[in-house]
Amino acid sequence: MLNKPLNFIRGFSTNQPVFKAWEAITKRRVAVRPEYEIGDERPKHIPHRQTTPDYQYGESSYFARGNRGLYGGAFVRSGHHVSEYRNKINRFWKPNSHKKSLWSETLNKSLTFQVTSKVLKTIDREGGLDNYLIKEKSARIKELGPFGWKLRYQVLKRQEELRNPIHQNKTEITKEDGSSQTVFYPNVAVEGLESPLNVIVGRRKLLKELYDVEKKEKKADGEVLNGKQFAEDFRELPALDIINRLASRGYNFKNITI
Amino acid sequence: MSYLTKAGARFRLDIQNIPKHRLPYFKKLQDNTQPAFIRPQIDYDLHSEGTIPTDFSKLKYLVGDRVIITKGQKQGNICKVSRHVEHGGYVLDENGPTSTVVVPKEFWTEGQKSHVITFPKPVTEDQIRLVAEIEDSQTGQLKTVAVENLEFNGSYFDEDYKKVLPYRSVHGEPDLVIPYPRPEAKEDGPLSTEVGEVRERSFFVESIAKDLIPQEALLTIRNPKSKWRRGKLTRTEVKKLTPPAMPLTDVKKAYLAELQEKALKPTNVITEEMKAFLGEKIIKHEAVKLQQLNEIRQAKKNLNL
Repeated sequence: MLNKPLNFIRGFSTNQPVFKAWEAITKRRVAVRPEYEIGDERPKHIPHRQTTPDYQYGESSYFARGNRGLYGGAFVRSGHHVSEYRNKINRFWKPNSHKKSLWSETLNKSLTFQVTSKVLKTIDREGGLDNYLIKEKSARIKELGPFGWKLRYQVLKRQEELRNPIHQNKTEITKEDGSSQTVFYPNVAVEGLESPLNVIVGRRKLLKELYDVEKKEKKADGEVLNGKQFAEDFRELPALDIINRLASRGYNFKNITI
Repeated sequence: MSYLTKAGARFRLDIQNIPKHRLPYFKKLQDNTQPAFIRPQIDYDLHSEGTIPTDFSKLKYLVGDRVIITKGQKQGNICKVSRHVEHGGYVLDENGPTSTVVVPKEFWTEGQKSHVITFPKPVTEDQIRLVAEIEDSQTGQLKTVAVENLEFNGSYFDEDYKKVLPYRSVHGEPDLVIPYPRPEAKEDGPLSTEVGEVRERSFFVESIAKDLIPQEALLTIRNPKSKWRRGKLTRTEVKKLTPPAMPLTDVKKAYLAELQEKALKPTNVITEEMKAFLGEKIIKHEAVKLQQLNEIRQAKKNLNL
């Protein structure tokens, strides 16, 4: 039942059409990052931890300066000097970039980098650097480049932190002698304890306490717990779970509660 | 500067790069600077590599061959080849040429009692001829002859040498094969295995799906603590190898929420009103079709009449 001529049947190609405007960015060859899981065979080299996410379009190899500033997808372009007698000599045009300090509302500091005048205009139109960086349009993500992508991560991460701080329920309590005390985890109900706890230390110090306790527990069993193994097992543990674990080990909360 | 560096390699004296007409100078230099007991005993080309060839067709005479000396003071003596030396030299037995040199005491060998020692002087290929026993075609008796030249052609497997070797024959007469001397028999060591035992097949693959070697036995042949075993990835290492994910923007979150909301909505909601409308349409259509069918039947009946 083939009513259409064969020519009109779409091929099995998965290639997306490339828009000429972004060709220099989208056609870059980017190495596929292998995905690792716990228990996989360890690779030959384990790098230092990467602090920013991968930029999907990779870095430019022929205009490396563009990887270090906001160039809005602008590259060095080439053409001819044409003389009066129509003699042609090769020449190139560099992007109109300048070193500028721009204020970031979210990061609460000014950032200094190379930026083209066209991008400056766009930032003005968007209403600030942060708005320029976090816009969710495919063209914007292409023009950000690796440097813009890095700034975008910093801004979005900070916004997340501001929205969900680590110590959300932090409160100030006035003690009997009139001085004030910060309570990081107020009214924590713990199994096996009658009254709820007001913990006056943060998550980092709680982990430190847990480390000492776990180390003693291991020693009693005739084993040794090192910091590496402890980090492996407990670094991701939420603060309330740490408190519960401390309680289950019979920890004395006197020094860290009020 | 490290001795491993190759910085000055371009300016170092390389005898291979010296033109042939300049070689006598270096030869003279070598003779004048080296004492007689170190100096090479045979005249050789400085450009040649000089290693002892392993190919039998390039070694004209083998260890154990009987040869006759055709040049020099010991001309006419029949000797046995005792070993090969570099640059195509043959060291012969006690009947061969010797040289006497003075050796300083620092270089004395064990058991040496005099400064003056005599040791065998190597000879080159052109100074000797192979001595072979050939059957006389007229009398039918064996006679000892010196072979002017040899040639190598064909090949066979030699059981004693355990190698494929070319046939060695008198030059111009390929049928007159002169066998190689038999090598010295090697005694079996405590770890050696009999040839017949080696060739006997003792392992047969029965299944390609199941490994015949048990898992426990593998550890005895593979080193579990080998430095080439990289081990398994831990949580911390996976974290190191994985870059952080980009947090979602508010716009993206809203978009995803909208998509989720859309997915939860039922896709085909047919109301009672729609059902009534569709039912009416179907009834009308069926009526038309039924009428058409009746007309066709009627027409068929009429044709039969």
